[in-house]
Amino acid sequence: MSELLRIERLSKSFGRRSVLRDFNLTIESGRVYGLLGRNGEGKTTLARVLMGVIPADGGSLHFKGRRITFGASDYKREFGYVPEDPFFYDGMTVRGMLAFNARFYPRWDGKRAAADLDRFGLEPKAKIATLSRGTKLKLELVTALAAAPELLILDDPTSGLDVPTRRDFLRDIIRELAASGTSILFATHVVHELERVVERLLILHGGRLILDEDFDAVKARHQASLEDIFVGLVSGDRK
Amino acid sequence: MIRVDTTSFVPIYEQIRKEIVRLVAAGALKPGAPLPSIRDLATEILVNPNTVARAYRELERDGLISTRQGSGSFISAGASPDVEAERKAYLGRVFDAAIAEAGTFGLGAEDILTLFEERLRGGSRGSRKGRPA
Repeated sequence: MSELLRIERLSKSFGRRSVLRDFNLTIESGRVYGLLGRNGEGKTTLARVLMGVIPADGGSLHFKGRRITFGASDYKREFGYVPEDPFFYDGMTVRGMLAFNARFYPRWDGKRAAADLDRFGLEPKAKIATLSRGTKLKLELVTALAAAPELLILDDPTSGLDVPTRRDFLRDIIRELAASGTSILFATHVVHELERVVERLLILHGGRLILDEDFDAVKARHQASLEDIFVGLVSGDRK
Repeated sequence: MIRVDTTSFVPIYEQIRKEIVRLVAAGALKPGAPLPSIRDLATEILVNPNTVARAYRELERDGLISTRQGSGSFISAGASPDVEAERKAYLGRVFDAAIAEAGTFGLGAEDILTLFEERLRGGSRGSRKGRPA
């Protein structure tokens, strides 16, 4: 497995509130990273800094061994991003939104997007405004995957969705893993879904990773469920 | 057919491996029987395909399954010699768990043997249902 992304000493503050400090993470290709952290610990901040939505205060980033700037468009095109609360142009149609996104991605696979729409039962002519939250999530995933990403960043995408929709989403992710072997950075607080796919467990606490280890090894050492391990590591010692 | 328990402390790849060994030992999967593709099994039981691949790799290493390029994985023809040992090992684990449970109720070896014999003869089930004479 080769190194895809290396984040070193990343820091990010909002005003006087420091969210990420001395944050380090290496992502290898073809692996699923599960990022757990309590609300407000900086999972979304990390995703947004990586995607260039907000600037980093400090730190360095390497993509496939090459030093790059946080948010630079040349590597962002290699990432798929499904945010927690995606922004949509409500007046657009499903097809219009895909055409809009296609222009930003050199490896955009229009055939694949069309096939995925069909598989998910998404109507190309439907107006975004008429779609349910679950359907919008599927559209986000179709968009992210059509870009043939090397890294898929999922920022708690299924929060607030019902169990069958979350299952469908998980199945789609697993299908994608089998087909393309993309790396995934899966930030979530739905622990039992993560348990099914996570290979490397990351726990974010106090602005940095307090755990970065193979999940099977973590489970063997703690002899506890992921939920208990997580709660045990992050509660009580702060705030 | 293959079940995994994500809340168990046993790694998922190991659970899949054990499940396939159990199905072979039980005769449900016979030599030559095809296994689902990694992708199909992963999407069916909702686990990471890499995890299924790891289970298959370990089974292949142990000679229980073989993989032919383009046609998937099969239970090996030579998969039978270990069946007896695997069956014993699997049932041993089931019995061990039951004995440990009995221990928490303070039951001794005699009590456990009596209960076990009752179950074997269908005695306890019969009396609970009030089986007609």
